[in-house]
Amino acid sequence: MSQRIKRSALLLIVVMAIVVFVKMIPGAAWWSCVIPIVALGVWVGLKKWTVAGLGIGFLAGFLLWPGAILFFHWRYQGGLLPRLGLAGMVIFLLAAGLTGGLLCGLALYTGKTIATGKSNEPALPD
Amino acid sequence: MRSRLSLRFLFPLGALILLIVALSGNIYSVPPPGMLIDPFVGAIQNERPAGAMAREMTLGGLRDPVRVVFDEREVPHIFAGNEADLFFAQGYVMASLRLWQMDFISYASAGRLAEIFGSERLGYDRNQRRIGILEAARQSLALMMQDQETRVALTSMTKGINAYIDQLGYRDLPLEYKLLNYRPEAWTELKSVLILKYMANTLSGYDEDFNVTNLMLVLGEARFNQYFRDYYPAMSPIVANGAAPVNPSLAWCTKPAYLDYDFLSSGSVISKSDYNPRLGSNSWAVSGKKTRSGHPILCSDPHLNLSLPAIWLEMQLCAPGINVYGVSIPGTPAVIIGFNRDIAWGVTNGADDVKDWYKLKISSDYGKYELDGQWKNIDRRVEEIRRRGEKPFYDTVYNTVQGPIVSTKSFPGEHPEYLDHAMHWMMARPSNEFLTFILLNKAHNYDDYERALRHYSCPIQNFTFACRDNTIAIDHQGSMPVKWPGQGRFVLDGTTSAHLYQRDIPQDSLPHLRDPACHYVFSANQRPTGSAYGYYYNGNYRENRANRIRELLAADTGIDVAGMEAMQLDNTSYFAEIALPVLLKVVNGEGYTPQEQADLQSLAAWKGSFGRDDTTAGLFYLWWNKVREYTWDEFGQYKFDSKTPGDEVLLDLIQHDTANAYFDKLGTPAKETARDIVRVAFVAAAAEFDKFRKSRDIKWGDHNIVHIDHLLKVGQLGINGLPSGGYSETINAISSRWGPSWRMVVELGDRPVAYGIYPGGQSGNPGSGHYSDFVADWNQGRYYPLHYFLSPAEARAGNSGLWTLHP
Repeated sequence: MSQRIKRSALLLIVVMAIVVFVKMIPGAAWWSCVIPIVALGVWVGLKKWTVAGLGIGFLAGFLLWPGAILFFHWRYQGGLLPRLGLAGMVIFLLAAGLTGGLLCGLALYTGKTIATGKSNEPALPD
Repeated sequence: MRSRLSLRFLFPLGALILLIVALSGNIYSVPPPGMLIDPFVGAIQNERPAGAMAREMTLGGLRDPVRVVFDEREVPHIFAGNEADLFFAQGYVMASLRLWQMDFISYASAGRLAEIFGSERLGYDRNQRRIGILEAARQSLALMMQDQETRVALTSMTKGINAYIDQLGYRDLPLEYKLLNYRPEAWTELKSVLILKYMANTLSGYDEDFNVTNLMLVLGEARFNQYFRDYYPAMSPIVANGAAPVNPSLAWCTKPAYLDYDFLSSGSVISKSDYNPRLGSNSWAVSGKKTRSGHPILCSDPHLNLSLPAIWLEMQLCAPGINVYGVSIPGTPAVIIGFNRDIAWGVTNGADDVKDWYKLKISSDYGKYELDGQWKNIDRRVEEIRRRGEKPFYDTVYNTVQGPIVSTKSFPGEHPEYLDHAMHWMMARPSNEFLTFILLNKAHNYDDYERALRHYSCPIQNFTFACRDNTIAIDHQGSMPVKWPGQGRFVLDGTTSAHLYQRDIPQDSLPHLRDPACHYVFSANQRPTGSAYGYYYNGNYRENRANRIRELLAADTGIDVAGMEAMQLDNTSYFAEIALPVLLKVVNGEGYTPQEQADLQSLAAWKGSFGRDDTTAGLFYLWWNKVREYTWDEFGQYKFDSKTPGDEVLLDLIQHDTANAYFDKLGTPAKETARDIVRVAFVAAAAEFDKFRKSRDIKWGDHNIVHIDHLLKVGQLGINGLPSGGYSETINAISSRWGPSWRMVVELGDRPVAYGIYPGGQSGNPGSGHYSDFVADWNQGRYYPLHYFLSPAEARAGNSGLWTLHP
């Protein structure tokens, strides 16, 4: 159980790191981070890690997208987010979270399924 | 077993691909959300600051290094070693601050909005093509490229803009490209000219030929001249009458012989014009003989449609032979309104009629038209209008010797009265206004100024000038055709060449004034001359602001910069000052409620101010509007959308013709007089005002609310709901979407001392802190000091933002 949590946490961090790294590549397509995440999923599957690929990937994207938006807004001190108003800002951040979450979650799950052909996590089914 | 496994991975893979595809394209009107909300390249990256940090760049196309210093308001001060590099850097910096705005306006001007928005803007594009802006821009560009100075400016600026565009990845694109899901195309010299023509179009929208033609026919010559006269005593023309005799054609408008109902058989239905002629610009110059410091002062506040990104971009341009500060139009070279060490200049709209309509006799297939009894071929040009996501649309544009036929049976447009009429527009004639501004930027004295002005053609503008040597001047400059009396005021007959324009008024006969004895010159869209001017001309001029400016300048003997700023912010209506005593005299008497009596007392104490916190201006506004409405109700009965006589005519009738038939209100058995109308209007206005009083919004600013829309009308990108002082007839002429687009006051001493502000911010990026940071101060009537530097080292002191552009 402890190892599963550790691996999940590690996977969460690695997925986020991959996204940040790929996004630093100039000219890369907005979705290009899914390719290494799929590859990561394959590796996870081959290693037979019992982690929830969809859930971990989704959580990574769901946290990273809005988190990065808030980080850049704080760093730039820009005026775009406030123009949306509080409700607009919440909707924008939620939409970003869902987009990032689905993208990373599906990518990790796809990779894992390619390698194993099924979910290895009965407790947290994908 | 293997087959089952394959199916399992295909499902999430398919879902992933579907997700990517769905988020990569537009969802109805929503731009591709995957990219837009991506934190690393999407909209949030548009919050990155652009100018105010040190950067070193290598740009192909430069000859020598260029330094750009951004001051605390993100105003770029560009220092180059030669003019080509200067305009290259101007283009580069403009693009970095306002790329989308200038690109978008070039599309709008050329009639290419369907390329961005699809068929929903096809009608707009067809109209733009037909009025000939794109064609006029092409022809003007050909002329401009023959001039060495203009060619260098345009080609260098184009290279600079393209150097910026070439660097852009998706992350760096201005927000609007991301929202509309397209990319900037390569800049061309033509796009700069298109922006110039767009401004010309904005400034020469005056067009009431059909309206006035109908009025002349309905009223007859005598009544037309009584109610729509051009001259009356309370006027302050730019050039007042001297000893010359009155020109009869200006003093009295004779009905042209061809004008009758047979001539106008079609076209009695006239659509409402969206042109608002009540608002305009001010500019004046005062000689040092009348200022406290002994130095001349020039003030300019052009009034335009308020929008974000702002119309103007503030900058300093410095190279050998040129060191100028002022505002530019993004996408065009040089400074348009500004000053250098020796001179300053301002601009207001000349308000002349430069657009005329000819009624044609044409064949049903648009093949031929009749001129002087002969059938001539109509020229055709096919315009390809590209549409987003659809095949191009091909529109045939028909041209006659008078001009294009804008409205045809296949495309009547929004103005059915234009059907089968040719439009003559001075803008269609090739001209090189850029050269005027380039030369003004480098001018040192009056002779330089006059030389620069000679290249200015359309639309006619009033140029105000001040020089450090205390010369002041004003010129009503542009191509003014020589007209026979009434020519161009009414719809013209397209079947005779006698109605064509043959030549222009010579340059030295255009209205101009230098160093008058009063020691000041001024313009506020008023008549350029008194009735003694030797040539007939017509336009839609406004007099009240000019009268107020003259009143203030004449009274002030110790003029200084602070006083001039206060004058630009003056909210007092000259007309209200003269009308109120007349109205109060009429309503004097019994029969009013206590509240109405209190209202009359507050009006008696009112000084005509439309200040934001004024609590009486609204009552006067309602009152006078109701007097107008009740008096001129007959004009609302006409089949055409008629204008009504001017306020000065109505005030004169109230004073001197109280039993005039127009005072008899329609739908009442009684025969009302001026007294009845003014009293009834007051009671109605007081009742309406009382409702506002109960809802606690009787301050003028509660009703004079300014909205500054983004060009795309996206609510979140604009600024709405700014209570404001000012009124269309005051110097500070502000209404909901129109107002002073650039306030500038310059004193030309040993070194220029200047102040200015515009409603916007230097950046066109809604995510930038400099997008709209001037608006609050502009609304409060504050000014910023304009830093005019003599060297890069001086500019760098205290300013951290430095770009070094290396060749």
